[in-house]
Amino acid sequence: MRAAPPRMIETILCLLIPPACREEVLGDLYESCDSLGQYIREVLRVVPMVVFSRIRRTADSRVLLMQAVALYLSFLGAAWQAGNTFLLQDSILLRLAIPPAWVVFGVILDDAYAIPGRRSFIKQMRGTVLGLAFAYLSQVAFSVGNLIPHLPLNIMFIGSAAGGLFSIGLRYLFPSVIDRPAGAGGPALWLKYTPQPLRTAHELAPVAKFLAFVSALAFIGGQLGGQLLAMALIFASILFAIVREWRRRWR
Amino acid sequence: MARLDSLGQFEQLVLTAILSLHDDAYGVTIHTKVQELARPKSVLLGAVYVTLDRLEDKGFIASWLSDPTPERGGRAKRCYRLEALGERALQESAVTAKRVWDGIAEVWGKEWAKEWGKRWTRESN
Repeated sequence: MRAAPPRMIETILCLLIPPACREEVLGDLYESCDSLGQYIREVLRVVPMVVFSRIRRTADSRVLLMQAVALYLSFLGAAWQAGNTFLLQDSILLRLAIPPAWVVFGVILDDAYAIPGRRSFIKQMRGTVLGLAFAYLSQVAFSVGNLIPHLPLNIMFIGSAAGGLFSIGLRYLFPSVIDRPAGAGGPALWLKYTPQPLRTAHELAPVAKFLAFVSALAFIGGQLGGQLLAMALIFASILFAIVREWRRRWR
Repeated sequence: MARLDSLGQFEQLVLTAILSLHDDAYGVTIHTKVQELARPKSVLLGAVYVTLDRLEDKGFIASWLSDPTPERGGRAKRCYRLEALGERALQESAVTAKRVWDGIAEVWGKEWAKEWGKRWTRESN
């Protein structure tokens, strides 16, 4: 590129491109573009793909699913605790899925934009906290915009407290891919750890099977022993899945 | 010997570009080379990044950051090199491509294969 791109564009780009690949992507864009127009066009085409690629590399599908299920059950439990009539409202099961979806989104973003090599105690909970902030903001937006009925504050508090703890706990059990020390310098236990990046659909088949199994179990439990048995069966099967996955990865 | 992941067509192009660029394989040069190999199709720089990441995850290539240079606005390059696993995967792909070529030539005739061979030589020159 003949002239340097405007500082403002570069600052925005620095925010958009994940730090792990920022240096080379900015350099390549600078080198390959002849004009500002071409630079902007190239940026618009490159940045989404770079972010997608980074998410694909850092997101651990099975851990994310475990977090999503734990969060959803926390919000479901909070709604159940608020009274039986609340769960009879229109599309309540869908509305309860909105905050967990935001938390998972926050965790995915945090992993993708994390700086490799910097490990800290706080970093493990940053994604969950970011996601919870998104979840609260979405509820505020719903209540202001009157688009979808927002969840009551007590359900949000109890759900986010329990779900947040589960999510952070899972993060400690299954650390992010980028937090794994690479090479011979890493401790033996870390080198044994095999993360599961987001890949093809057939790798998610066991996850789908597990979800189908839990749903069937919850339905049968609900028919035979009511809500309490259904919830107990769901929790037991999720706990079993977490322990099994943990043992498999650290074997 | 462990079974290798099979390569997609675009992955083959990227690996071939890295192989032919030797020590000068980084984002821009790989993109230019892949565009040359894939013509008349156009190739996005972003698609090259995605494929490079995927190939690195598979262990076919390795990367490292070079020193910053002024022609890149003081930014470093991420250079790539082919790993042994990548070389093997590329060899397997080339052998398969040769078999495809021979199979087609057998049915459509040697004259057809010669004609295409001449056309490709003209294009590359």
